[in-house]
Amino acid sequence: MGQEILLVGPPNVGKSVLFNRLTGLDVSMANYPGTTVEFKKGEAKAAGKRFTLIDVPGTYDLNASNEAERVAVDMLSGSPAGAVFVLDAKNLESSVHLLLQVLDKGIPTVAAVNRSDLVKGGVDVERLSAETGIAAIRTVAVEGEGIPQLEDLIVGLLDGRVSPARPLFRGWNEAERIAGRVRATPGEGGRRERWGDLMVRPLPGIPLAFLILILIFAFVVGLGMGLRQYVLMPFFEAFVFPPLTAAVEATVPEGTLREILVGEYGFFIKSIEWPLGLVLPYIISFYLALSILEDSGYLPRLAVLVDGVFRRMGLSGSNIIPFLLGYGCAVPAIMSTRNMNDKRKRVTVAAVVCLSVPCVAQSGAFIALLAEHSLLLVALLFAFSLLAAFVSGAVISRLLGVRRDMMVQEIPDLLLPDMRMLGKKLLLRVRHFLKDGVIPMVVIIGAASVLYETGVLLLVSDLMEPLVTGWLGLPKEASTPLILGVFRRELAVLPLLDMGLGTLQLMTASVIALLYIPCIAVIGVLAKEFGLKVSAAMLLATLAASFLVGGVIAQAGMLLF
Amino acid sequence: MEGKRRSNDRSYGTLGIEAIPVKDPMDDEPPVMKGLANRATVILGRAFKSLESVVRRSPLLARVYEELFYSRILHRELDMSRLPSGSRVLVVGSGHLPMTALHLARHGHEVTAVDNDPHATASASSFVARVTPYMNVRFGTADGVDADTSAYDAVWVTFNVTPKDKVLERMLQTLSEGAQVVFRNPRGMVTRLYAPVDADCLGLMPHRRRHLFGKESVMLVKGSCGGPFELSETEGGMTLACLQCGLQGVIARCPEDPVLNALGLRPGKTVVSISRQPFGGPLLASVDGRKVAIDAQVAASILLV
Repeated sequence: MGQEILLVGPPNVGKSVLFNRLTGLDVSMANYPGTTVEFKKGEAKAAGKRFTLIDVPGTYDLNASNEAERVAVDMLSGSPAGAVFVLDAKNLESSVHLLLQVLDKGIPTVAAVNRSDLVKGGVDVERLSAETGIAAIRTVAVEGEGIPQLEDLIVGLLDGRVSPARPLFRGWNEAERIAGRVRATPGEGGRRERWGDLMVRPLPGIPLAFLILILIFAFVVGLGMGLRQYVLMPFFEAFVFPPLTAAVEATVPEGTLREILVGEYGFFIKSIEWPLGLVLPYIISFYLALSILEDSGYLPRLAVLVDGVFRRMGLSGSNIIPFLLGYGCAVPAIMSTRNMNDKRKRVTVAAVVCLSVPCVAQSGAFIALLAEHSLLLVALLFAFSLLAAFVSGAVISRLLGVRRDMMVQEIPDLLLPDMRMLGKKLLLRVRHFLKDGVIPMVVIIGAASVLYETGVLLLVSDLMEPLVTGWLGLPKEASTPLILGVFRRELAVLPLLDMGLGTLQLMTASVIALLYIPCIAVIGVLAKEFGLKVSAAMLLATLAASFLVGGVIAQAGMLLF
Repeated sequence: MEGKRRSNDRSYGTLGIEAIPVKDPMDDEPPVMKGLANRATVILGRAFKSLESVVRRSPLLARVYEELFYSRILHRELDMSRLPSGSRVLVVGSGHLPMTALHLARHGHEVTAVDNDPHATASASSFVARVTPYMNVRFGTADGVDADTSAYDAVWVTFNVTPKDKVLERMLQTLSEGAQVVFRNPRGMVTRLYAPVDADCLGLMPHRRRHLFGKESVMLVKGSCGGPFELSETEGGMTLACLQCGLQGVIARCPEDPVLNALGLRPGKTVVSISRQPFGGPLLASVDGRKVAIDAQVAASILLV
């Protein structure tokens, strides 16, 4: 590994685009030691010299108190070979203010004034150099402009030819003065800006948000199902499972052990099929959609629109990301709560996602089950899901005493996402899922196959029967999906398809399946993230909630009709 | 308010028992509310006043009444204010049945209760003397609009005090730094019957607790959120939170928060209000061409020239 170069700058300045331009495919996401802050690290080369580029979390100020800022300060206090500071041509004052703070750390620094195409009259980088004492160039990262010059500057840093700038007087007056000298008047907002503003206005904004979310949902389900049915599963069934089964059958004698390994819920089969065949396609389609949302600058707008509702749950609109992820799969949703700094808030979000947000596979199953009967039931169930999310969020956050963050958030300009960057981001996320999501899933699948093949699960099914027929008013067979639902959330729904249930029974069963305990992979992640006690409490709570609410619906329905 | 407020014979105790005269719509003064709403206020006021006169005859009934309407509200208000025991508290608009004052005294505070209706203070004081003679409550007849509150740690302004905005303004002027004002505001449907005070426009960050039956309690701490907002002559008390969409203003004072400042919210900057979200969500503003979503409570702490 070569020397380390830090990439520093405020958020929304195009830092990650520059990062992608400078680095190759060898990029990884890491947690900063002792924190929940993630940062990107990549190998790069400039004029034949290899170095490690570290994308320091974007921050507005080095004195702010959140964790990302502390990580940035910590990184700057280490001993990197140098730093590349990215300034925002459109918001020069605050960029210069941060630059002055960074220079105060005494690290050899060069500056890139990015987005310089967005200002009228250009940016006087020579003036900036003269005022701050460091080399500065203009870049337009999305177009690739100025990248070669930036690489030259980085070579200078690597060779030790750049010395730290003289310490400067800091403060807003100084920053405003320098920015005024460098003179950049923001350009006129075009059509894109008007659209951007309309999207945050409640009136076109809220209906538009619904439309966008429905389109995204259709995209995720469609692409995910396509990948799963026509690409990944045929691949595994043709090329992976047969040799695997043959190998096991050749070495393991017939009996329980063989069944545990390659039987109906066989360990080898399921530990490939479930994480890679069933979940991975949705991870791909979902993260693709999410990356588009992220890179287009729509997410902060959505966050603003939902803040009024989220504040009732003790959260702020910015917490919508894990909820969106939860509609894909709860595993990445829970993992994404890592960058929230309050554990109680994380538990609230995780609990709401587990309780009332159906994963993409389960949503597909719901649509299959209910649409056949009446489309109204589908709408009713999804409306119930939103209501349940809201109510449970409000209740849990109050029980845990969560304190709301107040939103102060920049709303960046809308942008057309860059394909190359989308690809790289997707690769990063998939790699992350393979590393962090698959292993707990495999472990639990192992345990489950032992339980299933040894008959323990069937025993539990018999025990549950009185509850299912008496309290929930469902046929006796309906206990099977409840058992299977522990393994996969859509399995809590799919077996109901052939039972000829009535409207009330369909609604009861769907509500139970929705609120029911999360699937085993999620339980694994919960235990890993929050410990056994919290995850056990969540299991009990979701179990109790599903039987209670489902039972109340069944009983009330029977009274009424 | 033109002239001194007079003691008003046609004073009505209302929803919250504690009666401070509600202005009669037929008076020569400009009516605060019009038509039906006015009638409803008057009728409700009369109904509650007669209920109150029955209740105050029996200590037991009074206690039940307190439990029903007051305990919870006061409990939340005390929880919100975290007032140390033994604080000096002024209750403005204590009315005939001084429940707020009694409750505060029971929590160990040194309470002075005032009302601008001498009948009310007289009957309140006789009620307390009869029911709980050792309570640490003093009564006096005074009007909130010209009270001097500099000697108090906290002021409670009850639901029916009018004109509440003027009274609050006076309180915030005369209180010392760090002292609190707790006042009760209507919310939701009830705002059609009673005009609420816009808590976001007082130049301090309001803390709120909602109650049943269309009431909320609002607490303001003088000098909170970054700088003492003792309004000078030239400052109108206009905050970013009350800036109408599409209009612009120049920031006079702003909390010293690194993120706010970095986003361009600093004194001297021109800020344009772009849009506002429903359900108490954030508002969108633009500074130097940069769009920023700001929580309504934070926006209420940004004072404009």
